[in-house]
Amino acid sequence: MSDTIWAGRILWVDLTRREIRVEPTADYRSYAIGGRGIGQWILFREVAPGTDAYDPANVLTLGAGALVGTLAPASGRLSVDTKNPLTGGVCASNAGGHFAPELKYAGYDAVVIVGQSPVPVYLWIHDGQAELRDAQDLWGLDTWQTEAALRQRLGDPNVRVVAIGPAGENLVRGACLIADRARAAGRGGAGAVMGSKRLKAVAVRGTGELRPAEPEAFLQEVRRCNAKLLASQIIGAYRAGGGMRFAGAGGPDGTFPQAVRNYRDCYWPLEKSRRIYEPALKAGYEVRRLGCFNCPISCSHFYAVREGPYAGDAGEGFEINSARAFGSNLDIDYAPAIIAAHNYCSRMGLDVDMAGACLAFAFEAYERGDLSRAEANGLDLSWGNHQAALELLRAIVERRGVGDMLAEGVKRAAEALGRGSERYALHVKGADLNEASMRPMKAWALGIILSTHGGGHLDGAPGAWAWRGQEDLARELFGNPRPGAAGEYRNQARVVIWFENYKGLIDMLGLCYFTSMWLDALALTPDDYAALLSAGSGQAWSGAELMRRGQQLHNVQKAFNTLHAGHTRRDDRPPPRLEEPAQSGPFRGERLDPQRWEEMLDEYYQAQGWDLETGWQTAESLRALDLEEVSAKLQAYGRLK
Amino acid sequence: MSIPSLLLVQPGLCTACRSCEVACHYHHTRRFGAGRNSVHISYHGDTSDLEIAFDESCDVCLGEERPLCAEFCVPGAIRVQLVEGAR
Repeated sequence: MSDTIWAGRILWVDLTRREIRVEPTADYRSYAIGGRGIGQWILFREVAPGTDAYDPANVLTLGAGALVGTLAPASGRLSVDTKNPLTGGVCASNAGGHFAPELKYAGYDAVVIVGQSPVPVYLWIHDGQAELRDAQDLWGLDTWQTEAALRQRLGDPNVRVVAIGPAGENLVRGACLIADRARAAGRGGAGAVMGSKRLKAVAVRGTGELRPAEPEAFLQEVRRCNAKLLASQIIGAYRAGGGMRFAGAGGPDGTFPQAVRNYRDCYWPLEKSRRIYEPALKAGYEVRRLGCFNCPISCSHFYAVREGPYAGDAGEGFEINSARAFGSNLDIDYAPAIIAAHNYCSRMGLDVDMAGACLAFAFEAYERGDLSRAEANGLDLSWGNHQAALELLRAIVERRGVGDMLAEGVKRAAEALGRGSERYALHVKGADLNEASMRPMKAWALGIILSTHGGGHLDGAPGAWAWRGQEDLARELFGNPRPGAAGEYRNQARVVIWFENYKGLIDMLGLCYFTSMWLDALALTPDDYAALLSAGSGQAWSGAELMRRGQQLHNVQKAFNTLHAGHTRRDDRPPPRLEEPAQSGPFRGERLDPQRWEEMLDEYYQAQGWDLETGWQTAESLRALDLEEVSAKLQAYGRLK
Repeated sequence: MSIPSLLLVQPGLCTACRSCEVACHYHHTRRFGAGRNSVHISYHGDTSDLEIAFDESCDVCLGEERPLCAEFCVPGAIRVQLVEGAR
């Protein structure tokens, strides 16, 4: 029986010993709350520094947040936490879809996987039961085939599956987990970790239920929150055209900054962006709009290609990052090829960001003559060559020729290739980078670079768009009326820290970031989330308390990176390419000035109470957060200031 | 399975988010789950085709102010049909 809105139990699976046990969620509830909170705390405690990401001793957690499975808006998020094979620090990945609520209906808030199976297996969880089953015949199947095979085998079309594809099996470092065919726990290489454990999939089916402490009050809070979201103009734009219309391929008018030709530029000519932007895709390819579990926004698109060399390709989940990774950053303006590349990544279980960055790196190396045609598997990697891009993607997944080098990510690929290629290898802390707007938007760039999982906009990066017309509120929250404004280096640290903490609380609850003030200052506040949690749990929570839990969580992840990856201040700097000015368009001349960046870091570390020279946490800052456990571990390894 | 006459169902607008299923389960139990719902979404990921079906346990949300499946269906795939004489 559930513990109010928590399923009440955490499932531990040891693949080496084939042992399964459960522990109560209540042990974590008060401080880790759920989702990423539980996953990262377990990771911090269970994995010893020095453990390789592919070592059986690494831990992989699948966690559903505290509000997952309820009627709270967009309450279907799954947190996937493990040691990151790209960075050596944390992987804190997050997927939508329907797997996480099904896990709770089956009786578990999280699954913790350790060890390594001698042969491929899958984990079958159903209504309080869990068992490991043979998956040797599933090994080699893509994620779509795996889902179909498991539903057929288990005799239930409502079974939810999260699986790896060939990319994870082949230990491509940027391999990811896929649920519901297109919902990726994308960044962080969790698919490779799952592959190293020879765990092909987790299938789950549950007919149980969650018991909110105050059902009527909870429903009223849901109604209030939904009304707020539906009143938002920005969320209205997402409902109309998804993220793609908002910022994909140049945004609504084509001028939204992009990454172009391996970030050499951030402006793509209008005639190209308008072949890829959302209205063109809607007119040419859209079959249906879709949403994750219980989502009032439904940002997803199902696109089908009906003619040309990619005819028959169809799938869901195409997003801004796919348009950039396989579009502007490779200078490919042929939409069917970009859709096909996106769907291929979903099927193979390969992170779009990692894949796109690897392709762009190889294309630039080819252009510069650092990679010959013979070395490039005989492919003509000229900008815009979509056939070559798709073929190179296949080579990465299958680790053929140059694909084997790129499967390690651009940092390691550049080290292997040499020839000065490090200067155009776009990565943060070893994680491949696929982001937009980083040159003109300084705080946005800071939030991306400081993300503990290595370069990501869904953490502390503030979007200026959310705060237009909300200067008073911004001043009250951050002491800065223009958070994230273009060109602004100063007074951004508090903004970034606020969003880091805020994203932490949202991931502990398991809601989508698109319900939040990250997208629109008028969307759900910490107090709104606290009201939902209070009515659901029967315990009084405040927004301030939740923000503090978020701050603790960020500090746990920061400490993991310091302990495991040895990250210091030098790892908080952007790739050298972003110090070079943009070459054209409205943002011509914009760059990340190295001196100003150091000033931003100083401001950020000071605001965190961290050491300026190393960027490490201090005993004082951790004491203020009641994180003595974290402090003691850092102290034991000599990495506390 | 048939669609209650009070409800107007347009599968073309459905985003397969399953809010209706969760809201329906809530109506029957005051809890959250997807085992006691009267409305069922069947989604086919290869084509994006889907069906919306109601089973005989649907009481059109007797006792609620309005049918919850329709209330929580933001895209409007399930709506309350304005029929003269309906409650």
